[in-house]
Amino acid sequence: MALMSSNIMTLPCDVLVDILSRLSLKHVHQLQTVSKLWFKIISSPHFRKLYNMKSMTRPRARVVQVPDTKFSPSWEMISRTIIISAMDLNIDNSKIQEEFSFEDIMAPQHSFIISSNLIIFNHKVCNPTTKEIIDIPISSHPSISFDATYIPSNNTYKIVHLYGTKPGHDYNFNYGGSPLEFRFETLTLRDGGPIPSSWKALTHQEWFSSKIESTCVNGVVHWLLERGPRMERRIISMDIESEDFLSSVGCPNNPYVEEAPIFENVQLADLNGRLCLAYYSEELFRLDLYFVKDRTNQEWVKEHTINLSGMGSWFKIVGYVQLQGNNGDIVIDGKQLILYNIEENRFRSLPRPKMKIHIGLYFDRCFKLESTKLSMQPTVDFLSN
Amino acid sequence: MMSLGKLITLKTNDNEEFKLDKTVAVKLEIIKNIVQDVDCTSNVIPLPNIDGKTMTKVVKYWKKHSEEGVTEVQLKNFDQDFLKMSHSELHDVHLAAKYLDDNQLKEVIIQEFLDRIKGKPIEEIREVFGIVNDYTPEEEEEVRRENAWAFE
Repeated sequence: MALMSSNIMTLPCDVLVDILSRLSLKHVHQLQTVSKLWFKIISSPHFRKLYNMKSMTRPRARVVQVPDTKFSPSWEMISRTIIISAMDLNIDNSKIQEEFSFEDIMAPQHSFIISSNLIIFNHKVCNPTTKEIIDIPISSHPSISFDATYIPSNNTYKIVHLYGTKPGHDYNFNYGGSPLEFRFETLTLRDGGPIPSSWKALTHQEWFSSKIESTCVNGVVHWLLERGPRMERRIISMDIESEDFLSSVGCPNNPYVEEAPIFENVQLADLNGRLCLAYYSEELFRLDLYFVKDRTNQEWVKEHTINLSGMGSWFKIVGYVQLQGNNGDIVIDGKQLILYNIEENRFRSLPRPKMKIHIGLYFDRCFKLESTKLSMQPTVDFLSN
Repeated sequence: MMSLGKLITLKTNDNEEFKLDKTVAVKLEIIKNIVQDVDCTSNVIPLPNIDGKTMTKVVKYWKKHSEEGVTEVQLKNFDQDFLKMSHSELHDVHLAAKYLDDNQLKEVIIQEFLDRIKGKPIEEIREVFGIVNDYTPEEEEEVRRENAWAFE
């Protein structure tokens, strides 16, 4: 091809790739217009994967706000405005940059899930980075929840849909109710599309009453599910790539009430690549962090206790970030947004927007839901040769 | 084995010789390996991939950075001055650092390249890197349109 010859190539490819992979996502996409060679490098799957791997060390916060809601005359919600913003965590007093907004229309079986970098709502998937909103196939089953998980090795997202098998049943209002059949289906989204036309059903099934929480840690999705009137809680886990289920784990015992398992104020979180079960005691204003020590023996170890007295009444663990020159902070959302350093038992608070419905961590990624219509789309991935 | 003299001589591909204190030189992986592996009696290490002009710069960097009692500020000022070189010279030093497996110097050069790109408009980047725009206006517009989100 005549593409290369018109360039005075002064930087070797590997150096250029190294430099480009350190730039902001927006800037690197702008640089595709420098020349055809730069376009070929930046749009190659190899570069996009590499950029995304490096980006794992640069966590940012995603803020989702709902400033405006429309109601019908009978006060039913018709639609609401969703504003997506980004926030850098490694800059003190960092500003919240508004990126994108869209209208979320309430429909029957309405769902709205922010997971990983994607937002899934109303049978649509939204990539806030590229501002794409694309239809996903409608699942014929009543939804319990969606989780979007990222697979770095091939730059794909896999959406896992937890659903029930009884049509018309509201699975989200079955707390303490009799156990029902829970099933799983997946949808794989590749960089540059296309979006598959149907969900892939898994054979695995579970019997539970309701779903409390879910999170993805290190390529494994974990669901905290509750069963029966005694509210027994277990964590069901699935490996994203193989779609194999691991043995389930019960919750740790309540440290303050003998012989009773923890059941209120429990959340799951990804803390530095480890599954953490956090228990907040309202009486003691303490957040206990448990980690699985031995999966087969269902053994949990309480590794940390964070004293949050005077800091509000509800807390949500956003995640773990390792910022420059720092040994790692836990990000906790509450009345304020807090960065807590375990080793130094030190708090730092960040600006927290009003009207927010969600704060989560995300990583800048080269990922497009839809294919490009460019006539000069690179045909060979020459960098990986 | 190498004799225990205090000085090591590095010889570039254009036969320029650089005498270095051994304590400075063995900090570098590649030199350490040559010193250990090769039975060289002459104390001269050939550097077939590096020319004298580039090696002068590398040695200048090494000497400053192994100076006793040198302060952070002095090093920062030195680096700033050191990096005032043309694009292709910078590239040559990067290649030399890569060959000599000097990660610190490599990182300094990459950072400088990065600073030369960061926040610059496309036109300026083309100029700095001597790149000819081989797009037709229509093609360039197409790429812009496809990545509209990045240009807002």
